[in-house]
Amino acid sequence: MATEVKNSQSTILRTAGPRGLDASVMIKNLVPESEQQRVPGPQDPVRLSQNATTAHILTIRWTADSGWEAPQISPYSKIALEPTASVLHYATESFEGMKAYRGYDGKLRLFRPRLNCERMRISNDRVCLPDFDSVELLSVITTFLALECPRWLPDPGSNLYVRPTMIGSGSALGIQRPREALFFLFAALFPQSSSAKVSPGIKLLASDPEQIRAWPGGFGYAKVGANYGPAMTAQAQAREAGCSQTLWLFGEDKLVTEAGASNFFVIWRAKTSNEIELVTSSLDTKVILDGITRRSVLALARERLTASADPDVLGDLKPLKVVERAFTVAEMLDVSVEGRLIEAFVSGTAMFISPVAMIRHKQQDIEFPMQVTETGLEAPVSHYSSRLKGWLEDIIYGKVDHPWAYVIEEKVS
Amino acid sequence: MSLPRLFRAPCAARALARPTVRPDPCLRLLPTYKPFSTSRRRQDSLAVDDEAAAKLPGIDPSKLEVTKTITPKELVPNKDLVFGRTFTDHMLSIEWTASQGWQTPRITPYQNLSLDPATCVFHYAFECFEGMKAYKSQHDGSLRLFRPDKNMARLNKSAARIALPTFEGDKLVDLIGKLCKLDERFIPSEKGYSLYLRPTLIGTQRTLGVGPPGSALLFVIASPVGPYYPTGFKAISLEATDYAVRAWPGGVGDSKLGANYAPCIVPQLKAAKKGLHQNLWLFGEEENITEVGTMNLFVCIKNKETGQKELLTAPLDGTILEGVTRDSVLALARERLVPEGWKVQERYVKMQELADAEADGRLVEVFGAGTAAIVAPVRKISWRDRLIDCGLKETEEAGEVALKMKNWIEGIQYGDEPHPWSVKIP
Repeated sequence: MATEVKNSQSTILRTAGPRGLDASVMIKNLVPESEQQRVPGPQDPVRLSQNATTAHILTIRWTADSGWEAPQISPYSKIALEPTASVLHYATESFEGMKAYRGYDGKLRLFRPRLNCERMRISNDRVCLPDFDSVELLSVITTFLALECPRWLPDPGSNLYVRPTMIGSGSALGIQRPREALFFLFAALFPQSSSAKVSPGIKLLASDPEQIRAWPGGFGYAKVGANYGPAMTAQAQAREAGCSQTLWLFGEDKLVTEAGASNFFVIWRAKTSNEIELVTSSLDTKVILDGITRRSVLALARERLTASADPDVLGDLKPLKVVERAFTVAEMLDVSVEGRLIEAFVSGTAMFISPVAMIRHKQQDIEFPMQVTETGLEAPVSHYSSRLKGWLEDIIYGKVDHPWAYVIEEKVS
Repeated sequence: MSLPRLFRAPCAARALARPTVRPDPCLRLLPTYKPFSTSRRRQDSLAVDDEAAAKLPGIDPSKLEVTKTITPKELVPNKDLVFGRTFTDHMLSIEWTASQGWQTPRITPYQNLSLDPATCVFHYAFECFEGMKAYKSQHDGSLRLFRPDKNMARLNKSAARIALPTFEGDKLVDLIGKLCKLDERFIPSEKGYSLYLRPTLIGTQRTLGVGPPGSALLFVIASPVGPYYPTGFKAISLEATDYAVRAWPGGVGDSKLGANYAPCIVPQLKAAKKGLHQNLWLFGEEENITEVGTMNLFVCIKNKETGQKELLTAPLDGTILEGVTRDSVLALARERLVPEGWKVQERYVKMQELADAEADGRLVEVFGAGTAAIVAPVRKISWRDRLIDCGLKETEEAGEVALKMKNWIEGIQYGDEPHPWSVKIP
């Protein structure tokens, strides 16, 4: 398993309590299988609601005085909070998005889960929520999924959405470091996209200067609630313009940062060198989320799509150069006008790898090359992104052995 | 997190959803548990909201249902009151859904909320709040609110900014008045004491899709509080913070959203480690002074050329919270200080300008302004390797303007001075 981890700025303020998180003291209060809801099939419309969850929830309480209590797996139920709970007033909250995958070999896998656990530590650090040992957290998550997945994730090639969340649960009308927190995790049954289905491509609306997602010195790099609700008005504008997501621009130069809540990649032919480049914004100003899919795309591209890659792996694709740097929407417009655009896509846990069809921009739309599929549908050209997506799918569904796949042993009941 | 649009289910698919959750038997504060909304979500476009919302019921105080507590709390002695620790017997709550608008307002015993783990407020910070106070007048025993229309306007602005529902402000003021009346025994009549009110609006929709919440809960809780400075003013010292930002252009700094607060805790603790009370939030290369902690900031300096005394505060450019106390200080200054020769201006003061004024002996006074303290005098500001002295003598804890403002505003709040800002609760 990869362990690359970025250290957070303000480690001095970590709020580790007296008792560390301990996965070995799990308390289980389980719903008998006969009393659990039926498991919807992969195409069951119940999944469209995004509301259906598995039978249990994982919770871990923390207090400043005694640290982490024993993790509990119990029937999925509501959370009782005082009306003064810090999370309801001051947004002391962080979360992660992960998926559990049922491999074609029947095995259960997570994708680089340590990175999620480490990122949650970084997010918590920014909003003063408690720190924890990421190995222990992963162990707790593993136990939960080993328990839920034999029943709730039976179909090879399908996945379960997993949402670890941390909230400041203590009563606090004064703005202060939360004295109590609650970690909880549940698994949601989302619609399963059929890999055979062709995406018509995402349309993005370039944000106007009245809507800036994040700022240096802010918290754009952290997965905290404060980054999401405030993005809603821009999202509404995007919908109104016939787009599904916002392409977040930053500053007077209109730097391209993220798309919706995903990272954004563009592939173009460089003007002077004529080289093909895979470009995504660099992370240096800390306004961009350090996406795990983003990192994985960059690593795979560097390994398998560059000039030094194995020609057999590269196949019919021309080698490209991987570039992480700031770039502007004007630059993309130039590339578009000069016919140098090849493709674009967004990456994220929920969106996975999704090709972009067009970017609606005040002065001028940017349209990406389209192709007509065998079934007569129009879709963005996605030679590179579909290759990347395929490689990632091979890893998460166990078609190949790869250190990024984290296999969970399930008890056979 | 972003989810494909497909996930943001239309009504038909949503209606098929089955809860895997057991209904909570003990609490009915939230509506009977609904795992899906029966209608389309609140319109995506903010522009069409007015039209759609106009047809839905607004807040209706005439429908108020009151359930009184059967276990009234013992009153805490005035001297033992701690901000946010004691609450009154009751709370007000009003639910809203995209399909049915504002529901029956309820005053119930103060109690816990019970929320599904997938509730959007936990994940995406769909939340905003207000801070306001009710005061008991020693003259006529009346209960009074201070400029409640301002709080309502701001709560509506905050709500709109974060895709939560808006409402008619005077209707909520009416209901808040009823809550205050019911819990009047908690409000000490001693000067300096008051009932802190916290209207809070949260998104309650149960979904992981980032979309405008299809349901919301507005609740108001009340906490009796004592004077912010029980033993008289205590001037604070600030860290001029340049490594973190509170707000930015195109952000949400002018709204009272939860999202503005959690990220400020770490910088506050860092300042505290240096022995400083609050952050003085600087912005941009010019190091414009924006706010202090969670208050607006006022600076009094003598003009370099003319020697005229100037009261300055940051302009409302979208990054500054539109403080009710800020507005009151400005209005009172224009009415009462300008005739004395003061100049009142809403403009940025650069950190360098403040330092220059100090060096020239032109820095008269600096203070924060907010609901909790009214004014918070500042003694020192730590900036780079300097310590700026804000003009207080060693023996004094507040400057002249801060003192005047506190007395004027408090006089109005407690009904000592008849003023349209003080609104009697009928």
